[in-house]
Amino acid sequence: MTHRSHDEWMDRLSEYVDDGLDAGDRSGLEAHLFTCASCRSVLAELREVVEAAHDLGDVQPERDLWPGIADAIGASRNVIPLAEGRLHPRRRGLFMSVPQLAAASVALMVVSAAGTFALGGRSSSASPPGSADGLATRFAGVGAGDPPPALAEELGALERTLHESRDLLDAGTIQVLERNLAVIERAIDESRRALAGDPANAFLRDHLERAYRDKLELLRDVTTLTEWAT
Amino acid sequence: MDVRRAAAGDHAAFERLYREHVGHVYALARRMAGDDGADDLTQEIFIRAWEKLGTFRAEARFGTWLHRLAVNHLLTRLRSRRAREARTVQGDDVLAHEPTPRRRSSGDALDLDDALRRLPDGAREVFVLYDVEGYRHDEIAERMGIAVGTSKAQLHRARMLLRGYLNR
Amino acid sequence: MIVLTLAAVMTAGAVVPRDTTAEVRAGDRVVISNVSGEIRVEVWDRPLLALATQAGDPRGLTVSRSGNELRVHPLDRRGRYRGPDVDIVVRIPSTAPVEIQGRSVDVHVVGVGGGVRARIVSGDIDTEDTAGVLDLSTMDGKIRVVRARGAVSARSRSDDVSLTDVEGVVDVGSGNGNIRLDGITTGDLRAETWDGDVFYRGGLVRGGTYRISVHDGDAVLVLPERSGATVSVATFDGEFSSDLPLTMQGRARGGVVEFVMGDGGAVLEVKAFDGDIRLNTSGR
Repeated sequence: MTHRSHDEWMDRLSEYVDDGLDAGDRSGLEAHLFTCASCRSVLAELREVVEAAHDLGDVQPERDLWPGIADAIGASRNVIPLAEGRLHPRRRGLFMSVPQLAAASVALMVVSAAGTFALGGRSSSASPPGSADGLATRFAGVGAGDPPPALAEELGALERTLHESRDLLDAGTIQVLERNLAVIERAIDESRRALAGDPANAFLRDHLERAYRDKLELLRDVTTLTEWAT
Repeated sequence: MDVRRAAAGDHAAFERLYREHVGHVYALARRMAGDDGADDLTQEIFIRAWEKLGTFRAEARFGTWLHRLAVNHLLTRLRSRRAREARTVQGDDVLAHEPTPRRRSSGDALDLDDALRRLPDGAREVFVLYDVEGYRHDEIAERMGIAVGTSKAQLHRARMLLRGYLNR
Repeated sequence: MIVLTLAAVMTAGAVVPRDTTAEVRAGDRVVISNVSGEIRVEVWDRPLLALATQAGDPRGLTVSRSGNELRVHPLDRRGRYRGPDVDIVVRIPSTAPVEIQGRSVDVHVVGVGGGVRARIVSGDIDTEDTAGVLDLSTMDGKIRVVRARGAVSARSRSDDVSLTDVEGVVDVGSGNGNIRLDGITTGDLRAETWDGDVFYRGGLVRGGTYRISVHDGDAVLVLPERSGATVSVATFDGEFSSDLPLTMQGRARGGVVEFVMGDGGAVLEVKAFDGDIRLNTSGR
C-alpha cells in the first residue's frame, strides 16, 4: 500500500474514478478515503461530473446548416463563389468585345468612372503579321500551329516515355495523367484552329505556345512519376 | 447504401447522411470550440467528409470514420485559432477572452454544456475527448501532441473545475 | 534464409516505437517522403521532431538523419511503403523548412515558418499560417493556402487552387480548376488555368506585374477604385468589361488591346481565350 499526502491523493482521484491506479495506489487511496471526508466528498462530485458527461447527448444546430454544405459541394468546380465578380446581367462601365475592338483598332478615351467612353475617329487596318512582338517569328516556317522543331522533338520524346512507362504506373495515376493531358490537348486543338483562322494574331500564337509548354511540363512530371515508381 | 451512393456523387444520399449525423458532429464542435464557430466548423467537417468519401473504406462504420475526421479537423482548426489569437492577444489579456458562461438565471447551477465553456482550452478538449467521446489517454495524447501524463492531469483539472462550476 | 528474414522483421519492430522523436538542429530540413494517407505537419516550441502515427501500421515508418536532412520515410530499404495508408502527425520547430513527397496523400501544414515544398501525385494540400517559400504541386487534388507570408507557387493539374490572405510573390496554376486569389498583397502575380475561372481580389502595387491567363473560363479582378496600371487584355471569344476608368493606348495589336488605368503604375495583363474578362471595383 502506497502512502501519500492528502493533496497527492486528491490529485489521484480522477485516476481512481477511471480505475487507472495500480494496486498499491488504489489500496492506499482507499485507506485515505476511509478517514478523509473531504476526499470522499470530492470523489462523489467527480463521479457526478463523469456521469453527467456520459449522459450528454447530441445537439442539433439552431439553424439548418445543410444549405451551406450543399452550396459548397453542389456544383463541383463552380463551388468557388465567383458570383460576386460576375457582371451579368447588370453590366455597367466599359464593355466591349475585345476581338471586335481589336479588328476595328479604334482608339478609346474613357472619360469617367461610370464608363462613358468616346470613340476616336482613327481607324486603320489590322496589324501586319509579326508586328506585335517577336512571337510571330517563333512559328515561322512551321505548319499552322505546329510547335517549333525543338519543342516538338522534346514533346515527342516525352510522349514516348509516357507510352513506355505505362506499365510502371498504377491505373489511378494513368487515369489522372490522361485526364490532364486531355484538357491541355483540347486547349492546343482549340488554339490551333483559332490561329488557323487568324494567323496574324499574336495573342493566339502566344496562347498556343503556352499550351505546348504546359503540355511539356506535364509530360516532364511523368518522368518524375516513373522515377518514383522504379 | 447511402455512403456508397454519396461516394458516387449522390447529393441526396449525402444529405441523408448529414441529417443522421449532424447532431453528433455539431455537439462535438460546440463542446470543443464553443458556440462561436460551431456552425462553420460543422459545415467544414461535412464538406471535408464529402471530399474524402473516396477514402472511406467499407469495413469501417461511417459514423466512426466521420467522427475521427471531425476530431482531427477540430483539433487542427482549434490549434490554428489559438496560434492566431496568441499573436494578437498578450499576457493577462488572454483572461479577458475567456467566454462568459450563459447562466439560465442568477444563482442557478450551470448545466454541463454551459460549464464546459468556462474551461481552459486544453482541459476542455481533453475532457470532451475522454469523458464525452470515450477516447483513451494515449489516443488523446497522440492527437493533441501532449504527453499521456499531461492528458491525465488536464482531465483531472477539468473535472475539478467543472465540479466547482456545477455546484456553485 | 527464413530465420534471417524473421530476425530482420523482429529487429525492425523492436527498434521503431509508435512515437518517434529526433533532435532538430539549426539549419535542419525535414523531409517526409513516400507516405500514403494523411500527413499533418504542426509546429511546437521544442527543438524536436515528433512523429505520431494515428492510424495505420506505426512500425512502417521511421525517422533518419542524413546531413542536415531529417527524413520521415518508410522503413523499407528501397524507400517504399507497401502497407496500408497511414495517418501521421509530425511536429517540428516552426523555423524548420519542410519537404513532402508522396503518391496518394492529403497534406495539412500549420504554422511552419521555414517554407514548405510539397510534391503530391494525388491528394489535397492545405497550408495555414505559414511563412517563407511555399512550393506546392499536386497532380490531382485541391490546393488551399490561408495566411501566408513569402513566395507562393501552387499548381494543381486537375483541381482548384485557392489563396487567401497572402503577402508575397504569387505564381499559381491549374490544369483543370478554378483559381481563387483573395486578399492578396503582391507586386508579382502569375495565374494560369486551362479550364476554370480566375478570381483575384487585391491591390496593384506601383511597379508590380500581374499576369493572368485563362483558356476556357472567365477572369474576374476586383481592384481598389484608385488602382493604377497599364492594362493589356486579350480574348479570342469573350467580352471585356470594366468598372474602372480606362484610357485606350494606341491601336489594338495582334489581338491585344492596351489601356492605361489611373497612374499606370503597375503592369496588368489579362488573357482569356474563351471567356470574359472583368475588372470590378472593390470600392476602396
